[in-house]
Amino acid sequence: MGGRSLILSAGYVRSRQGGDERQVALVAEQTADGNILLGGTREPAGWANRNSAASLRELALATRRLLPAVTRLHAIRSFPGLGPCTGDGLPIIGWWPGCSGLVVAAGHDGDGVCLSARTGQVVAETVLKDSAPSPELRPERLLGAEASQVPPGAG
Amino acid sequence: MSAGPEAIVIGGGLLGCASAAALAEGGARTLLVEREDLASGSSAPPNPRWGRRSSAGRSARRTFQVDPWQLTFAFARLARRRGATVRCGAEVVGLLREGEGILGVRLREGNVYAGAVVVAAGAWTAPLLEGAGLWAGAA
Repeated sequence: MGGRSLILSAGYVRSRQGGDERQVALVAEQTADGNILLGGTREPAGWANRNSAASLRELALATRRLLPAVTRLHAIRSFPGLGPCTGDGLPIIGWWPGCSGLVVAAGHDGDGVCLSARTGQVVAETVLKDSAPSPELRPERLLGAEASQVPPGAG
Repeated sequence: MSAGPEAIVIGGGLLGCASAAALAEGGARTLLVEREDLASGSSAPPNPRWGRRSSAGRSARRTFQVDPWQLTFAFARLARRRGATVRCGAEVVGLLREGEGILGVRLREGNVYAGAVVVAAGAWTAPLLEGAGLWAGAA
């Protein structure tokens, strides 16, 4: 089994900052089965849940450049997934402005796994303690609304 | 007479299940509704051979990798253990809106009311908000 490591190109960190353009940035990691997982591509695809040939080609070229040994292996499959995102690289968490009783927690893009536990806590604090998440997470920022007051919560 | 939920969470993915677990831990009577199965949208396992046979925690300790599918189920189990109700196959067809307030959700089989509705429906969040007249699509 041995030690496993993650190879993360600097471009990947940049691609996590959001943006609408198509991005290909190499991440390579070995799974428990020994397969090598290569990522990642992001492209504005709407509801089309598929990888474009252009993105896969770019990913293959980036892999060949940085990890030439990997190109001797067989590709098993590629898989896409929807990464709901907000455009500014941050999720939406908080009361929906101008509407009481509604909390939104979405738009985590590729960070849902890492942020899931903390998001749950923030949602619970929002609902149960009527607290407001930090402004950069609140939905107001996407609606262009003035910093509106936090609507009354549950109970 | 059984009291209705205090909080309804829409979406049985990672974020919905994590939210339901935290709400239930905080003492809220919580109902999670998922239209299909848990982790069937963005939290679905991209690679079926990823971390099989191990729990999310065990898998993470050994490899520092977390399988989103297993993590979703772990949150759902936690939510249930803390008293939340998790219902799959329960599709929200609309938010119950009255004026400037959301009162609950409309399921196919009827309405459910709660003090707070948490939309954690991933990519399907925007359509739900649009349906309630709260969002007019991306600017």
